[in-house]
Amino acid sequence: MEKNRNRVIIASIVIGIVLVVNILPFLWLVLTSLKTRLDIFAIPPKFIFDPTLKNYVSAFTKRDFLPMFYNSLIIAVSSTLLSLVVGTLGAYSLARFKIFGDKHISFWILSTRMFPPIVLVIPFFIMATQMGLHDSRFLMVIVYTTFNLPFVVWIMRSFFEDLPFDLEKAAMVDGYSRWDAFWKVALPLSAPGLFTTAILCFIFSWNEFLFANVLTAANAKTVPVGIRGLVTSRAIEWGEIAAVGTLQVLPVLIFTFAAQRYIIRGLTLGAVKG
Amino acid sequence: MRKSCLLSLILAFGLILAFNSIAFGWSLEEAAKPYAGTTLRFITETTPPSYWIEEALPEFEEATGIKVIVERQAHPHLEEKALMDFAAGTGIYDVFNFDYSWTGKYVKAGYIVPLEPFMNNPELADPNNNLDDFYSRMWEGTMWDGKAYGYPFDSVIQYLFWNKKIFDDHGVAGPPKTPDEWMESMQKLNNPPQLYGTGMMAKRHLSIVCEWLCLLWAHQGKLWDDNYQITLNNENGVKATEFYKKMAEYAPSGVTTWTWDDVNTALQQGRVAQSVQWDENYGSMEDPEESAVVGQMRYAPVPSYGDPVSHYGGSSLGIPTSSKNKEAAFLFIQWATSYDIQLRGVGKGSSPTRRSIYQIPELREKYPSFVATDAAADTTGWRPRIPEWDAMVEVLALELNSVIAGTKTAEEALNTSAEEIDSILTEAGYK
Amino acid sequence: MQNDFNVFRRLNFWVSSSENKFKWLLLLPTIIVLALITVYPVIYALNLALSDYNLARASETLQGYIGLDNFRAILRNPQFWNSLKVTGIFTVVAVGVEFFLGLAIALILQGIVTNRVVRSLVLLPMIMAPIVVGLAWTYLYQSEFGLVTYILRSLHLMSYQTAPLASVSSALPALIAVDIWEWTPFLIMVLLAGLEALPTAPYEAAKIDKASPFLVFRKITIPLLRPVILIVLVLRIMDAIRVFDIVYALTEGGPASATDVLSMFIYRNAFYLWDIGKASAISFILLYIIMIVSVILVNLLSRVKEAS
Repeated sequence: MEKNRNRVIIASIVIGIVLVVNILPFLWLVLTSLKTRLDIFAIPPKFIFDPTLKNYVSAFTKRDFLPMFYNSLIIAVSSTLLSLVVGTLGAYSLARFKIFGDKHISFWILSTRMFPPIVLVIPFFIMATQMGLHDSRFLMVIVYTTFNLPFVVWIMRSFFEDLPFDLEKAAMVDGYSRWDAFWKVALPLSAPGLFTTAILCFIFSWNEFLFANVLTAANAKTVPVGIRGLVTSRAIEWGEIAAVGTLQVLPVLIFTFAAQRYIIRGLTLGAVKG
Repeated sequence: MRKSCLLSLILAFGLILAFNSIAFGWSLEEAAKPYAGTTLRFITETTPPSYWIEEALPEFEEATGIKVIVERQAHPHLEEKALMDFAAGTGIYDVFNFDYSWTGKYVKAGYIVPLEPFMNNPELADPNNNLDDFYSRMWEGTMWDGKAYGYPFDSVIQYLFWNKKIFDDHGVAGPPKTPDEWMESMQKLNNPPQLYGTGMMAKRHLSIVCEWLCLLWAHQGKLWDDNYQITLNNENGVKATEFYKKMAEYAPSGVTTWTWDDVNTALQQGRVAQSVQWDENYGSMEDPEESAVVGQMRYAPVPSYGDPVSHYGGSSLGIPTSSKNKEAAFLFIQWATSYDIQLRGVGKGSSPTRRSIYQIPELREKYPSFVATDAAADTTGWRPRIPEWDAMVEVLALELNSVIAGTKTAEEALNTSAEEIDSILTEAGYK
Repeated sequence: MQNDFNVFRRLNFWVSSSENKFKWLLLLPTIIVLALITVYPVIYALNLALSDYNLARASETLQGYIGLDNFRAILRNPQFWNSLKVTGIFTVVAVGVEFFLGLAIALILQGIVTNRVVRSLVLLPMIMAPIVVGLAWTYLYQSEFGLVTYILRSLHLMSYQTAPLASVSSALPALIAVDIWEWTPFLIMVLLAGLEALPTAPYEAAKIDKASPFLVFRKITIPLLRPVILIVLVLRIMDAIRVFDIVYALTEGGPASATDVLSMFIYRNAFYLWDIGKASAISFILLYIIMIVSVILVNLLSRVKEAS
């Protein structure tokens, strides 16, 4: 019993340290977003100061971040939906049927997920310029599908494999078609998985920087590119970087809370069932 | 009946007169009429004049009905963004702020257009715009093969910013004239961590190459001779580079990550006693909201063993080939580089490129940098204007930064640079 | 509306008529879309890698198809080998530290910290946009007013003569520290999930045999956990090899070339120098490296799966 209490104490201390180390840089970002220029450059760094919302205001009045948030939202949602529609079907097929060479197909799909973005971004840039698609939201949706689609296939496959096939069989005995068995039985049962997958796809797209930095300029510019764009002036605009950074993280934070049940499973491509 | 006839005749005549006077007396409002409602995108480096132009923009927009969106990017991200647009031919940007050393590269790649067609168009060109007022070197910087590709926008001359108050407080006479005096002053003023002898822009970046070029020239060195034989790694080159390395002993620890932005902040806060910096920043030294050194800064040539040294890094406003609003863009460029706009922005970020402004006595009094710029502007040294220069900057930036970071000796770094620059020159057919 | 309904009915009929057609019908969209958006661009990139293609040069000075010249030039370039080395060090050290730290913390927390809110908070660093992570740490590492620099100096762990990102010897460790901060939570959570899913029977048997905790760990926990361990290592190694955002935000490869990872090296060649041909060639080399590493790791993984 004594031994157990010691473990609890040690574990509490460890989780305490982990949380502090994890949260402090983020907290510092939030604090910085509320500082004036003078407090931002203070030596030693200040923890107590008069907060101001100036940075938030100027991010939207002087820097025009509203359209960027809009672009980020549209691109992330569209790519998520596209990947879900196409990928769920593929995942179901891989999970339920014996397919000639299915191992190779699965591995190939996974391997596209492993592509370094820097490899794809160069041909995408040249092709986009030749097709006149540079700096369009449509292009960004397609580009983000390159990593979202294989992701959906892998996770949803693992969720479908978890469902007992008997349910679909029973439904088909009752007169359901093959499609209905998928559409009306399997799909609703894997709704939580679908939800987690959607949220993770959204987060990946929402946070993506490299593709957006190269492939957008003015019309389709996303928030991460805009934030990097603040590293420009005579002195870097730390206050505004922090303000927009904070706003950028907030939806992700909320979504993570919403999807926490399956998030580990999602992040390990369905391999670890957390 | 007859009376009214006469009256209408007079009225009609008057109208024609009035119309003529407008047609002959050029005005921005009139010239811009066909382009009202256009939106221009102006991509510029984050320089002080880019801030001043943005401040003055409402005037232009009101007079012309042309809306202008200013997009600022730091070097090298300005080129990254601009080239992506030009190569793609997307036509996002209409006005392009380019460095004089890029002119050839962009002209040869077909990315910017000559301004002559617009300058010769009486409906667009302001007849009162005195082009001879631009400093000759700055005007030359916009030219390629005898054609002008832009109007000089930003006087960017690198020389020594030295804080007179700090020098006086420590009993050091300024400004230093020779490199030896200079090094001595750094040593005497260095009192870390409160005060450092000098700032440096020693990041692996164009900035380190610019600053080092000043030192190379001050030590009577050259990149190459008239036959493109590399000389940067000769005795003078090594001396200059070793001098540069020694400066780092009297500079703040972070200088291997500093560009001109960081140098400026340090100068403004009085954390460094002096630094080589671009003249366009003079206004920010005198801005009480940002600067703790109002009234203290003085300006001098880079200390040299020979003639006074300064380094020209100016830029112009030009029009990308892919722009869909070239006429409106020309009107904007003409306005942004006009005497009136340059003059009214003095102290607020404007960095004039016109001689007449630097010769206004009251301004020379108030802004000591004006005297220094005027003295340097026509003869200031400049970097090679060949399209291959950017590839050499990459080489030099890495090698020089390695010297300051301590992974290479001056000699090793210069020999490697010489070798690579030689092969770039050979490959490009210069020798 | 009517039309849509018909299509649906036809689809319905058609799919139930043949299971074989059904499965391919479901899978084909994925295959076609992926082929179009990943395979085709890669073939296109190979074409670029074999050409003299530079956007900053006039088109008449370009030589077009030049075979393997780009590859030859790269293999002769010491900067490339440096990037390879930096990427290797970054990957091995970052993933290594993350793994051992993650495993140790997971073992300590196992069965005790179950609160889901706490667990979500642990994940905070890795759900932040990497570019924001990079910029936030740039600020923390500032040589004059950075909080981390200030703390290090107050603890006399770092002198005024240097700053985390300013010297060649500390820049890469500082960069690795950011990656460790960002990704250790992921390893903690995954390994924790893996530990909690382990069967209890072997442990009860060990209790009866009075085996030492270390023996239990080595003989029971590690073998049972191996599939999970391999999965996280595969994922992390792949991510570390292609790291870009935090490097671009924090150091852009400097000082000197101390942090010049492969992705940064490619990016500089492509978008600072506009040498698209050479950049494509390097990215192919990176692609091969990733392929080889992933094939090895995945084979290892499937063997472990079969064994268990």
